[in-house]
Amino acid sequence: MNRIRNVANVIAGICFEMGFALAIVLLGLAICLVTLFVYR
Amino acid sequence: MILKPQSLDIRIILHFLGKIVLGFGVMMVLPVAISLVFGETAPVIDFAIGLVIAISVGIFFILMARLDEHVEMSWMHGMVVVSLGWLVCMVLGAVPFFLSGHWASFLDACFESMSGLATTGLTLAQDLDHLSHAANFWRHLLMFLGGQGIVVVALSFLVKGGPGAFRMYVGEGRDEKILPNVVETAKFIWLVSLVYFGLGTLLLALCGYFSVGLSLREAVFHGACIFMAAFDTGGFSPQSQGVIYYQSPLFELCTIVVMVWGAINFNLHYAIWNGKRKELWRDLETRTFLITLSCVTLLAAAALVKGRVYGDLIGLGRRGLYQIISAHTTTGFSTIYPQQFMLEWKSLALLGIILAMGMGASICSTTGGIKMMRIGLIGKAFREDIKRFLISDSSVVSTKFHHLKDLFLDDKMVRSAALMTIAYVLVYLFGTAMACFAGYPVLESLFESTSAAGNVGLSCGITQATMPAFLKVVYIVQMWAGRLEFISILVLGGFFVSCIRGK
Repeated sequence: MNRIRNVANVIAGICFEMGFALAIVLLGLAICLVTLFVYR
Repeated sequence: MILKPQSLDIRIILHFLGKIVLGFGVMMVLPVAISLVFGETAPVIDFAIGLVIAISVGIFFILMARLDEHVEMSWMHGMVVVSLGWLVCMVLGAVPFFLSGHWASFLDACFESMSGLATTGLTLAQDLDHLSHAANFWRHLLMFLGGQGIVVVALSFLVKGGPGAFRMYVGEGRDEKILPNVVETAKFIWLVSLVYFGLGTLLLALCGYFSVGLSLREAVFHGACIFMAAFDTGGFSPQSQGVIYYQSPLFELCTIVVMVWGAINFNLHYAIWNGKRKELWRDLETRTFLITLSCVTLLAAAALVKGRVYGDLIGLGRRGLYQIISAHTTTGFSTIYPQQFMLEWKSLALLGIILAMGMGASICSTTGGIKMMRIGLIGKAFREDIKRFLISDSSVVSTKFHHLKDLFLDDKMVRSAALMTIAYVLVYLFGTAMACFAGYPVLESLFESTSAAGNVGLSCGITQATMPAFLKVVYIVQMWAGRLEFISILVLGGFFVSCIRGK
C-alpha cells in the first residue's frame, strides 16, 4: 500500500513539475503579449 | 607555513582519481553499443581505443596508490581529486572525438569534451551532420555524466560513503545533501535523472516521430540525445542547426519542459516527489527565478518589439522567449542562428539574455551561472538593510526565507553568496577581456564569455574552430571553473604551490 502511494506521489510530482514548466511558458507569453500591446 | 604534501596525500589522491577515471572509462561501452545498433564500424575502434586508454589509466592510478579503501580523506584531497578528475576525464573523453576526424586538433576535441562535461554546449565539431551516431551519443552522454557530476557517478557505484565521499561531492559544486548519506544522495540524483530520462526520451521521441517526421529509430536517438542535453541544461544537439532542425513548435515546447525539469533543485524534486508540492512555490529559488525571468523577458521583449525584430506573438514566443528560457536555465538551445544575435537583436535584448545567462538557475541542479539562491539572498540582504534605515534604531531586524525549511538570513550566508557572485562576475569579465584582446568587439566578447563561464552554450559566432588557440584554452578554463564553482580549482592551485614551496 505504501509503495503504491509512493509511486502515485512520484507520478503526481512529475505532472506537477510539467505543469510548472508550462506555467512558465504561459507567464512568458503573457509578458510578450503585454509588450506587444504597449509598443505596437 | 605551507606544508609539502606527503607521499600518503599523493597516494590518496591517485586512488580516488583512479576510481573516477575507471567509472568514466566504463561509460564508453555505451557509444560502442550505439555504433553496433546503427551498424557503424569505424567508431567501434575509436571508442575501443578510448575505453582501453581510460581503463588502463584508471587501473594504473589505483595500482600506483596501493591504498586501503578505509583511509580517511581530507578536504584538500577531496577538492584536488575532483578538480584533477575533471581535467583527466576531459582529456580521456576527447580521445574518441579526435580519432573520429571531426575535430581539427586535439585541443578542439578537449574543448568539446569539457563543453560536454561542464554542460556548456559550445561546439567546435566540423561537419556535425555527418558525425557518427556513436560520437554524437558520446557528446550528449558527456553532458548527462557531467550534469549529474562525474563524482556522483563514482559515488553511486565505486566509492563507499563517509566524510571523504561528502568532501568530493562538495568539491563538485554541490553543498546540499538530499539524504543524510551522501552515497544515497548520489543514488537519488541518478534515480531522478533516469526516471526523467525514460519519460523525456519517450516524450521527445513521440514528438520527433509524429510532429517532425523522423523514422522510429532516429526519433528515439534524437529524443535521447536532446533529452540529455536539455535535462542537463547542456545544449548540444545531434544536428548542426540545433533545435531549428526540427521545425516544430511542439518539439520546442517539449524541450522547454525538459529544460525546466533540469533547472529545478534536486532537493525540490525530492520534496515534490514526496508529496510536498507547495515547497516549489514557497522556495526562495523558485520565487527569485520567476521574478528574474519576468524581468529579463520584459527587457528583451520590449527591445525586440520596439526594434521591430519580431512583430507578432508567435515570432516573439518562438524566437525571443525560447532564447530567454534557454539562457536562464543555462541550456543553450537556440531557435535562431548565432549570427542573428548580433545582426538582428538589439543591444538591450542582448543585455537581457546576457543577464539571464549570467544568473543561471538553481543550486544543486544541473545548471550553471551564479544561481538563483545567491541572487535571492543578496536581494533579501538589500531589503533588510533598507528596512534598517526606515525603522527606529532600537528595533531588531531579521529576515526569514524559505528554502526546504524556514531559515533566518545571517551575515555568513550573505557573505558567501556575495563572494561567489563576485567570483563569477570576475570570470565573466576575464573572458571578455581575453576575447577583446583577440580582436572581437566588447558586446560579443561579453556574450560568449558569459555563455562559457555560465555553462550556457549560446553563441554569437565567436566559438569556431578558427578562433585563436589561447581563447579556446580560456573558454575551457572558464567552463571548468564555472561548473566546479571555483573553490576546488583554487585548492588545486594551492596544492601545486605547496608541492613547490612547501616545507
